[in-house]
Amino acid sequence: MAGFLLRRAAQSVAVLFAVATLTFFLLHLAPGDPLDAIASDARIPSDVRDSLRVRFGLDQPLAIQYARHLTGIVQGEFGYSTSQHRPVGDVMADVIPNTLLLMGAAMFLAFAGGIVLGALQGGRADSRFDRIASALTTTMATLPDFWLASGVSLVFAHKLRWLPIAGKVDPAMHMLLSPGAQILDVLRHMALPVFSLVVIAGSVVARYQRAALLDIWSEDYVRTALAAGVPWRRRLYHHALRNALLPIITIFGLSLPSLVGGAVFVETVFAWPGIGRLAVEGLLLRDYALVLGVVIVTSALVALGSLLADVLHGVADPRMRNG
Amino acid sequence: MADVTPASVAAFADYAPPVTSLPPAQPATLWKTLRRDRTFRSALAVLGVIVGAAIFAPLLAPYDPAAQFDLTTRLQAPSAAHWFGTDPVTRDVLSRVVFGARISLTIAFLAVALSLTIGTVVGAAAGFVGGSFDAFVARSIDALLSIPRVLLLLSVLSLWGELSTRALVVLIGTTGWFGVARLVRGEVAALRQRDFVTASRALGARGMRVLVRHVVPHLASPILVAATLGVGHMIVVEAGLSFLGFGVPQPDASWGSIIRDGREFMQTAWWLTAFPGLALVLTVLAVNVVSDRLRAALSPRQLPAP
Repeated sequence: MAGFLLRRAAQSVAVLFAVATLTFFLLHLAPGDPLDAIASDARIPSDVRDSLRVRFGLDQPLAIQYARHLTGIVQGEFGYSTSQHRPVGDVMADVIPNTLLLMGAAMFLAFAGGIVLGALQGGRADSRFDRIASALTTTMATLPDFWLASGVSLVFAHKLRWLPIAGKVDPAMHMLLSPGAQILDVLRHMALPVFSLVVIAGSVVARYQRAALLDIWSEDYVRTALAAGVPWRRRLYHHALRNALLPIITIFGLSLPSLVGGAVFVETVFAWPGIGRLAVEGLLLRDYALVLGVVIVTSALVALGSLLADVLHGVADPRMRNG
Repeated sequence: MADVTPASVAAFADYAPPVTSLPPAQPATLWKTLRRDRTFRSALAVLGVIVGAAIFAPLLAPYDPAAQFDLTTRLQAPSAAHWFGTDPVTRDVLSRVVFGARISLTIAFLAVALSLTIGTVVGAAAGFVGGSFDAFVARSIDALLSIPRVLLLLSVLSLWGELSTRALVVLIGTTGWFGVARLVRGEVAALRQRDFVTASRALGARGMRVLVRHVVPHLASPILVAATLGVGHMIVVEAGLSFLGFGVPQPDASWGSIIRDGREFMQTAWWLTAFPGLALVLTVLAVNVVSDRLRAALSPRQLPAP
């Protein structure tokens, strides 16, 4: 097990190294240099521009800049955000908990709901329930996240006014509320973005779970259980579902990049103060350092998540540890 | 180990269907199987209508998509004169959606062609050569696949600023081949071990000839499935970028940019976002169903579900 973990962790580090290298070269392939935005102003004398260039190390050879870029990332330094006038690390530290809250809730509900729905479908394959659910999940899984989120916000926030339109907390009232009411306030703001993410991701999980369960459902030991008179419910939850969960753990790791991508759109639509919205804002303000910092940090989070998925897989399936 | 292969892989693994050694496609038998598949036929019909609308847009669209009428006709709800309503500057939404199909589909097709080409070349080279080169390519692809696609595109866009439609195709295409490369690499690595490859080598065929004449034809089926899935995926990626305002430049309008234009008026004019979105969903759904059925028909182990 230790060897498996070590190998897997080394892979994650390699992934991060590749991402850091890629972002560095993207930055340097781009036309102009990072100071153009501030230094193209004619009122800034050229010696100031040169001193800025020296200060940010842009006068150094590429190899040295690259080494600094890598050591900076290792030390948690991601440069300076020109739009927020603060270090990028600080800006990201403020919003990452919000994204983790949103994603954590969405993933938990999507996987819990998707696993249950998929299992129920697989256990009653080709029943009317299964066909309706399959048609629904197939459709839901293709909905573009930004379109669904816009529609959800239109119906439930603008028209029905059940839930708030945007943000994480009520801007006027939040500080005046009691602690319990503050939590409720955040939950009310989370509801619609989480719902949008869950509808799409949950449908995808349900489709995988259904397929995985169908495979197991025809195994001999499940049929033996049927012959021995084990009731449907126990065959489903006790016999079949346990083995059908393994592929879902794999899916958990694979789904992380696209879930993070979905969060970019959902956060933008609902003005949720998270890392995806931060990236879009940074992009609009041409704040390279911020955008690249977000890419590196989210890739790190994704790498960590898929490492976790593999460890879980190793725990659940002894064959993985030795394979 | 369970074998899980729904079409929704697209939503997760950056459109990399799991590696399955499918036999080379036999167009005649394949068509025979698919012709009897009602779901496939209806999905294909839907796609036909949409592609037809895109091709014949100037004949089908009731108005010029850019035509502006007098301001009394702005933001009109769907009516007999304007089936999909009008937008804030009085343009006909139906005409915009029909012409938008051209942009959305063209970008998707070209981007898929580009990513398939790059992915096949990289994947086949790595799988065929093997050794440390293969290991390096495989690791790099895994790394690239773990970067959230949208963020990768956004970071490139942040550096290059506004892009022409042509540059957008290149950008989407060159960031979309990782899944294809992984798929092709796996297939080629498996094919390389097969007896017919050994036999052709024994008969004196050199590397390039073995690869092109004996290995590549076997890739037709998986690439066909990846291509169909990829079209749906690319349409959504482009729409997402356009929605965020970083996609197709004005005055061209894809479905994504029409949705973006309508977002501001969503509360009062739902038709501005609903119709382009429906066109998008219908297209992607049809493409995914076609891909799913194609895979089922190509894979002998998996019988098409009713």
